[in-house]
Amino acid sequence: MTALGAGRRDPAIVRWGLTLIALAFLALFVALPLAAVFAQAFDKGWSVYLAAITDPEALQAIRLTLMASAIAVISNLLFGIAAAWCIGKFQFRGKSLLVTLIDLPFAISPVIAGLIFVLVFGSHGWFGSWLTDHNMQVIFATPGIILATVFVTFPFVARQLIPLIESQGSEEEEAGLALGAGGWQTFLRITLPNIKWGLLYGVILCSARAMGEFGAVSVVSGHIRGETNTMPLHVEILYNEYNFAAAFSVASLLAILALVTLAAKSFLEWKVKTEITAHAREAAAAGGKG
Amino acid sequence: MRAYRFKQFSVLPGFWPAFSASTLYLTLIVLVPLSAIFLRTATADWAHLWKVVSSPQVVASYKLSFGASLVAAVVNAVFGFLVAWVLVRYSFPGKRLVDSIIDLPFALPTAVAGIALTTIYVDGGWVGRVLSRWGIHVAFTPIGVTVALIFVGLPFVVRAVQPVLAETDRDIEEAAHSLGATRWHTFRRVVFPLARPAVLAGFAMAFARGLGEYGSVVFISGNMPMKTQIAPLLIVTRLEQYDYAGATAIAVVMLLASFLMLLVINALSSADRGKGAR
Amino acid sequence: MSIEARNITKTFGRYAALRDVSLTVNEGELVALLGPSGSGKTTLLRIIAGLETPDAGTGGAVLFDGRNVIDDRVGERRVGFVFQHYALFRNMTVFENIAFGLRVRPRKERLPEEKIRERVRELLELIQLESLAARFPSQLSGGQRQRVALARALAIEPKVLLLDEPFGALDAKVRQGLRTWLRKLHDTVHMTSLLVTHDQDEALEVADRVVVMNQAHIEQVGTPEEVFHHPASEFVMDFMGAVNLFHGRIESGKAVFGPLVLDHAGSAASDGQAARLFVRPYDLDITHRPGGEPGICARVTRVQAAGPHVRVELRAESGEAVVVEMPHAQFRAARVHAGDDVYVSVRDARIFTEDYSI
Repeated sequence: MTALGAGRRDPAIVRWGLTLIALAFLALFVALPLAAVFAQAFDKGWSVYLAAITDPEALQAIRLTLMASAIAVISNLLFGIAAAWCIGKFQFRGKSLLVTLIDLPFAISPVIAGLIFVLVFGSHGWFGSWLTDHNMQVIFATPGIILATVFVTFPFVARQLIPLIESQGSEEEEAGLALGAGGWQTFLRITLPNIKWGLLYGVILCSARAMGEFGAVSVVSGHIRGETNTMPLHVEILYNEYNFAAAFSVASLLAILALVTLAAKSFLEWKVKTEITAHAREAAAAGGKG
Repeated sequence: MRAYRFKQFSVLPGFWPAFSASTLYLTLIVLVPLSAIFLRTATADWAHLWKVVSSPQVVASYKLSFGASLVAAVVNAVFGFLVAWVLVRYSFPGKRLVDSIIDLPFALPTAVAGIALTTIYVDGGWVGRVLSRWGIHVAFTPIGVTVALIFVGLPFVVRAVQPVLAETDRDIEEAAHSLGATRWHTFRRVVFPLARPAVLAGFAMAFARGLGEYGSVVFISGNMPMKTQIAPLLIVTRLEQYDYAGATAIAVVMLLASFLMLLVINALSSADRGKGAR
Repeated sequence: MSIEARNITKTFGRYAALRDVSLTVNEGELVALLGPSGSGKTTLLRIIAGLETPDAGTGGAVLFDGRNVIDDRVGERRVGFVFQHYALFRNMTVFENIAFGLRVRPRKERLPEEKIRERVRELLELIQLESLAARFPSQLSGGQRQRVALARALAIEPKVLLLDEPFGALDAKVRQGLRTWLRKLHDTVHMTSLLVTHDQDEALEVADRVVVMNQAHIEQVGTPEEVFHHPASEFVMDFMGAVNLFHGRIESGKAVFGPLVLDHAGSAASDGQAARLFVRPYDLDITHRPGGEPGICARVTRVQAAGPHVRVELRAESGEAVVVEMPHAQFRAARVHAGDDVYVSVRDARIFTEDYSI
């Protein structure tokens, strides 16, 4: 690392001064909130903690969260692979527009993400009366929660896969086809193994966001206890009832999830990086013409 | 003239299934629902919309949302740059751990962050206790809103700046030193201009994220009308009263404003890049 | 199996890669497609393989043994294709890479696993990499990877072998070895082969025939001797190696380049037409005194005696830079030093006028 060498020549006082300021800032704004979650969760001891997370309503919230996240992750994964395949491997008109549109949900406030589904499926929405006539409910029910979750986590997998697939070119697939392999065989045996770590990375980011989503889900859920509460919404209700210990207990589960995500993220980032650098190295070994 | 061709030939199969599946999914999940908000606005009673948007409570929420996001993004630009600088150039024990914890605001559910920040910054909390002694109250004030937005926006700047600083050539700095520039001068004239587009990009992302943020803010803000209500909260309140038109009006202004801001910032940063290239 | 490409036209956007190109490769022949980058040679190879298609409506055809295969997919054409950057499957071992083409066949046509292993072992022996069967591509050197790529292509018993700059990415020494090896391989297997290269030495050394391409069309087709000694155009002459260029004009059946007057009878070039004289550096002589032959006056600017030949750089009176190459013995006899004023005479040259050449 060249930059590290440059830093060594900064005077020690500058070096340590800046490092301390940076660490203090991070401690105040990042580490302290994390510590607070666990401190509050165990404030009243283990038995209260266990009771809070095994409460039937909590368990229902956990189940709903896991289900909505699973559906969101699977559908966005399939979409991500399809989008990355056509964007990463083919040249067509309007490609950059498609990429921009895929990123759109990132630019939209989660509350507005919830609002648009209310406008489409709510009782006064486009399909509201049709849904009522057919005795179906989307808003203030599980389908709405799933839709909102799918929307906010929409770009995650595609965003990871597009640059990865693009960087790998098409030669290996062409070689597979030239050797007589079919389209699916080529995809399953050649493309998929080459993107597996990037895929997993996208899935992890996607599921972390799906389980933690609050704003969008809050708008469409209706906060019906024991029915349409996800974990973050359950945390909110407990907190607003001043049941802090229980709120933080459930919150601590989400915090643990976040920490697992971070650990997996660091590991996979390293994996993906080696995946990409291995390719770059091969290309470099294959000469300057690459 | 050759015939118009949508796609270049490739031997790889599966373009049409993949393309149609992904555009269909994109249309159903994102484009159609999103168009609802604009169609609603177009067909609504504009006088009513203007009344909603110009009401003092809504204007105050816009001011708070934009103001707090702006301040938080500025703080993040400064401290995010500092953190990236320290992580790239210096080594200290636990650096890898610190590096991975930067992403915590991405990974931690916003509601969890919200209640945790509130607990710390209320007057009796770990930090609030100290600050309240000097008469500074964070929770349930605009400062609290800003603190929450600093939390959610931090990774954007750090992650944007880090790779640029890591790639900045040591030779450039050494050349500047050898020409007699002082350390500060080298930083201000050589190193910072190289990183400035990345800082701006990170700033823009943190700002945009702050405008729309809801979960981490609603707990610490206290939601007092005219004082600490952010715009997304007003959307939620209107929806709870089944006032779809009002919610839509507030949302459209927010969407347009944040698209506009992003456009301006993109133009600024591309102008900046152009200058760097010359 | 013979290959014929007929009236191939290909454009990428506004850029023409091939303009109505036709080419025939005879059964058992090794032909090199030679040209600078962007000349269309790789595109032609990929169209023959089925990795690209000619422009629709231009009537281009690719015939294998007289049968049009233009509508066959790449997998159906049974071609062995060797990619410039090898395109080895990263997630598979050397063994699995070579076995791939055999293992992906439909169950009915597939050889039993034992037969597949046997075949792969034979190929590993052929490329002399038996000991590396369990390695991954990232653990191999460039030359080894290229041999694996070749074995993988041969595994499906292709009818033709197509190689896209197979040695372009290797360093000079490995390249030389592989070139000789490829030629030997071709002499034993006798498979119809088409090789794309931008390196004229490689084309001249390996191929039975050379096809020189430039700017989307074929400049010349011929044996290595033909294209080297009788280039059909200025481009081929220039591309085949360093040349000296003099400008002059045609006067009453003679080509006149300053004091040099060369016979140009029997050509249709008319008087006053511009002419260009191309002379290879080793077809020039240097003398201190004007001899029988008319010569160009020049001053020696630099002498470079390291290497197999002596390279003398001069500046002609008319201002043109001239390079002369000669064997060391001849150089010693000529006693030339930097700064000397000398006469340069032409032993052999080619004259090109606007449209005609001899």
